Amino acid sequence: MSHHPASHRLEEVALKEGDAEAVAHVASCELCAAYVQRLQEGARAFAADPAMDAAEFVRQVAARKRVFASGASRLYRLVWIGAPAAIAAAILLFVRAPRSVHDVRDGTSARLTTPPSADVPPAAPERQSYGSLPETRFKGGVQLAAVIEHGGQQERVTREVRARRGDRLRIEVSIDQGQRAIVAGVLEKNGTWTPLLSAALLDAGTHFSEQAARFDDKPTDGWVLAGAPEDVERARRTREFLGVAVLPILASP
Amino acid sequence: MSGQLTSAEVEGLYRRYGFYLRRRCGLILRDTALVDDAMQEAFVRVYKHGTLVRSMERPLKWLARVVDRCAFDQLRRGKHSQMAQPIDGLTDTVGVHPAVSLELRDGVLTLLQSLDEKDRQIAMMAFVDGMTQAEIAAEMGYSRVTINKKVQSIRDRAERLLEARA
Repeated sequence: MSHHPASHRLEEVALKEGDAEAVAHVASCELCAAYVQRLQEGARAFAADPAMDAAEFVRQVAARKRVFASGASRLYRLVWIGAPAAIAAAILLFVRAPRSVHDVRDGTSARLTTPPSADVPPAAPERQSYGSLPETRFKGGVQLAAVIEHGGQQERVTREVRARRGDRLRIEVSIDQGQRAIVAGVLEKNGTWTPLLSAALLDAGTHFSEQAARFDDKPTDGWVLAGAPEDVERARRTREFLGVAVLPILASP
Repeated sequence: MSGQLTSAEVEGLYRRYGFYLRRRCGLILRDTALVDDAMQEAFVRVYKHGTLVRSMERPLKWLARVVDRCAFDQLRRGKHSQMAQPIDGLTDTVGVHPAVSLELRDGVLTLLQSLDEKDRQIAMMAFVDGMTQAEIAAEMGYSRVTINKKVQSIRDRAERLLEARA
């Protein structure tokens, strides 16, 4: 569609943080150079506008943040519960009582049914995608949804997941067509990776995570990631979530 | 270092990227009050992701996606009402991306409210950001064929809308 760099790359050039290719393009393209110049002029006008005062904006944001936050800073952690995931139908039902509390760290496979070794509770999985998930097959990559149980009620969510103490969750991974190698897990904001779905070749259709998870007293914000193993690995490393399905986890009181 | 950003860090981000993000939000919402609300909500979310933001050399694109989500939320909440400001009244001194048609961009922005969230994102990428279909496919996790169909569908709807207005 375009041989011009996308707008965010031109904006980065305007900010003097553009990549070399974009910078070179702007240097040789009058249209893009003019666009960048207009961006810079707009940014200068914005900076000089008293109504756009950054300190005042941050005060407003901080006030809003206080309204929505309850109590002190919340550290949320997720505790894995044992939950054999052999039968797809059974996966729809959450296991009521955790069989184990298990620390699942990066590089280790999630073995939720193993006896408790829990020295450190792992992060809870949660997943969100850019929009609603179809109930059946669909075209276009990997789709995610989370089924979360709170107070005995189950809710399927396809947007951001509000993680509350004691909530249990599973995820759904839907594949549009063919077979795809998929891995899924939770990336905590502190970098901890907790696998939910070990690398597997999945057929088209909807699949459920191998494990259920339960948020303990202090869940953390994070993301559920799913996609091809190399894409997920890149996303974990760079925090650039391009090419992977993402469900943000937002800790709630 | 804390997982949350400090107020000074957030202020720094707003000083540096605020214009670009607010402009984007304005294109989607076209209402100052809604833009104010969405921007505040976006930065509330940004606060929480200090570790992530600090790890990024160029956070603009990530910030833009956060703003998109918050602006789309506003669109969804306000679905019962028409946009306060018609697209013709949009004041954007920067103008369109060099690869994008002004008329088509404005047509797409007008119908943005009627799209689902995925198509909104695709519409923004294709008709506001000037991203290639390959870039959109990579970011959204769709095949290029699917993106081509969706972009064409959005384009057709926008063109029909523009024709009806003419």
